[in-house]
Amino acid sequence: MGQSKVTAAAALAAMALSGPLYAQDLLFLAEDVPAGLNYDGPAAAIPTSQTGMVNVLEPLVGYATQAANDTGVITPDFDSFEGRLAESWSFDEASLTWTFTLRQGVVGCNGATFNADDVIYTFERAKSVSGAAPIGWFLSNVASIAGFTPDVFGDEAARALGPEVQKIDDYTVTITQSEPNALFLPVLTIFGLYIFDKEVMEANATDEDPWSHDFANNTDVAGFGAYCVERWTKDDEIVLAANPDYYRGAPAIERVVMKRVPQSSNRVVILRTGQAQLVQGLTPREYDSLRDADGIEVGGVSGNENLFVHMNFDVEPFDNPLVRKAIAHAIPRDQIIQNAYFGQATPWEGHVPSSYPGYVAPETQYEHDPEKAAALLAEAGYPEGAGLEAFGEAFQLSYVAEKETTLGPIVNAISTAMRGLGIPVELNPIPQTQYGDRQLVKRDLPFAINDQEKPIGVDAGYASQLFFVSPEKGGLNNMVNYRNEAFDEMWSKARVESDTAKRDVMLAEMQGMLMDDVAWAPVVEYTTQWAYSDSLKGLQWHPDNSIRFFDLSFE
Amino acid sequence: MSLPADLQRAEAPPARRIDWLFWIGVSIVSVVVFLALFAPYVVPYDPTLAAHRPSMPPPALSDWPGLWWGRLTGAIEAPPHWFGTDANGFDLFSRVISAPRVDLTIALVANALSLFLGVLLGLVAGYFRNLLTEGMMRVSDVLQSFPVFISAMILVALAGRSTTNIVIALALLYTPIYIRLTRAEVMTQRVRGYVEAARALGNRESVIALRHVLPNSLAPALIQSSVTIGFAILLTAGLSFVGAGVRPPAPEWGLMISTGANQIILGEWWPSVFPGIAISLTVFGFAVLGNALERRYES
Repeated sequence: MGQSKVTAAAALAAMALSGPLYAQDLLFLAEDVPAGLNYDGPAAAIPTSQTGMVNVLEPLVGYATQAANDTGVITPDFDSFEGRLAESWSFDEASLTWTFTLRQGVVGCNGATFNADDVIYTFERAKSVSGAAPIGWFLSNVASIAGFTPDVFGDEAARALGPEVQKIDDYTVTITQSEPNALFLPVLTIFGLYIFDKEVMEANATDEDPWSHDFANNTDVAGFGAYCVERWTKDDEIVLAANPDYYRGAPAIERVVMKRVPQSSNRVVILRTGQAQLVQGLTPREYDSLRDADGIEVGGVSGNENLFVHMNFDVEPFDNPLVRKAIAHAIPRDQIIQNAYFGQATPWEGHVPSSYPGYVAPETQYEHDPEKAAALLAEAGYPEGAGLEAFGEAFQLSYVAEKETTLGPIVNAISTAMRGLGIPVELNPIPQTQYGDRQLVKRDLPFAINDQEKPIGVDAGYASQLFFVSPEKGGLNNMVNYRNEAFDEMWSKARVESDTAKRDVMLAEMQGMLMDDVAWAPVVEYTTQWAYSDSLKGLQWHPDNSIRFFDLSFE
Repeated sequence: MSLPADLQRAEAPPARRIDWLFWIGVSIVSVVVFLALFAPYVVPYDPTLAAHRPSMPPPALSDWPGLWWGRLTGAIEAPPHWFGTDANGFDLFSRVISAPRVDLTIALVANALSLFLGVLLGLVAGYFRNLLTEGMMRVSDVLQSFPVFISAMILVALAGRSTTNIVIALALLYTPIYIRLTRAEVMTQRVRGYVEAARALGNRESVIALRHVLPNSLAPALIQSSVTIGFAILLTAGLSFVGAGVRPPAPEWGLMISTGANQIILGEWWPSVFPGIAISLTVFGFAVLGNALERRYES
């Protein structure tokens, strides 16, 4: 009786919160709604913001798909690209120039027709580095698009788009690289280079904000995607209406209500009542509890989500490799897999998702070995942790407070193991926004648990550039301030190596360096999952872990 | 010759009635104080070590005698998890009985601070009535007009999440209660004959206020303390429940309820229910003790 009352109350709450729903509406519950729709904006790294962006904007190219896995989730074929806003393309090796033939008759939400000007605008905006986070510039740089160099940050003239991205006619553009680089097409699939609708974006520009960042951060964003923003209230909900003119056909689901329900247990209850059809961000146990529920499916992939311990190289005593190694050996991986992930994770043996091309598990590994950890600590000059109390501030283990349910058992297992060795760990739950700011912008978190970094570019080299290249040399999200000249040097060679076999050898060597240096202490790779109504079909996984509602339909 | 019946009743010695509520309050508060002092010596496990299988339910009540016997005879080596374990693998019994050390300490220190400040300011406001003290009372009124919980959340959010800041926030919020109570009592005391007598003997006003009026005005504030401590415990737990209180993994009732609430949907009631019972009993204990003391004082 108690359970049914809770269920009924949750159902009423769901109805009251979400407003009227129609026959073809989808109610999708998540831990948050988009905090921004601007991929060069401050909310770009937040997963739920990315979900908003990828449904409203559209890429030039995307990955083809392959058959569904055993849980019914369709996965991409990373070896095969298909045209989206670009119908076809060719590459001239001599001039390192890509020529894209653009799709005709593509209409955006506001009725504007897609053409080469939209592509030019998108790259102009990226090169302007005018937003809070220069994601568009970073991706262009990673893809070696000519002119997208770090000079843009110091030289205003360098921010103007030159002949590297050129309009040939209304439906043809060329993009020139400065060097051969295999990451070019993979990078174009990433949300940070999705194409804007120039006409609408410019209509919302102001003298102070010529690239419409405020508009995209707070109001709407204009593109040629499958959905249009109907209503958006931050911290509450976003309502997306199908773009009837979408070039791949009108979406099967006419309206998507993405609703913020912070407590994962509440998302479970509302899904069970049938009021919501899709939820994400549950704990492994909650997913387990739904596997046998009537009318509910749980699907997932071993994609690119992982958990690692972050130790800042600029903060004592983590500048000492022996301390980092001791901590890596002290992490009780098996206990975390069993007690926190309930078997829905595997030990992570590298610094790149194991499903990615170019991944290797280096020879050096840090198995859970308290005795070895104690010996390393003693060798570092801290026998049984004596002397480490001087670094109390550094041993505050930070994690995202909003993820207490998921991360609580992990941080407690780690802190228990560390204290057993005399390491004075204290837990420091901090809000998501503060965590993101200190990780990405200030890079001053000394010691942290991180489960939200996934290299969206499906390549070991992309992950290296994003997380481990020295900050001064373009490591955009090098949150631990890792600096290794040999690593940087090797990457500068690998990124221009056209021979895949040779490139893979270099990437393997680089991954060995990361493990030897304990750039991160990798812990586990966990399964990305969703729970949904069994009438919902077509769920696909994408490397950004954001659902494309166009993929979905009701049976 | 016999006396009329009503006269007989009037002269009969009054029946000695046991004040059950008072003694229940005393018992509960004594247990809580004992645990606050000695929990580290009586807990079966370290309350902050996540070293057990997570989410183990408590043993069935029917198994408890056997488990007790097994422990007494040494047949069971490891202490049972009487209240089960939570999702982190903490022993809940150890955490529940360790929590008074955190909750009661915060409540006692906050109450002591607010009592000291409130009585002192209340004495000044009640004894020396002028524009300044009237102004102080209006500030106190404004402070009291805000909801206590919201104000505490704002103060802790502004100052940062630490035990010290929680204590300061609670002390600030409870001080106006003591100011008002003491002021009212001082105003009735200052016109009493003993004050006139002290004045006639040539004592200075400040000496009269501190040496004569203050001791006679303390009772209402001291009685209020018991209730305030109970509510301070509740407020501390409430702050932890919404994520503005003490940091995990500190054994604190509100934090335990908050962590366990998410597990209820999975059928795991024990991580929330046991700390919930503990906090209810504690607040009840302090409330009935305060109530009984108040009745005794009034009679």
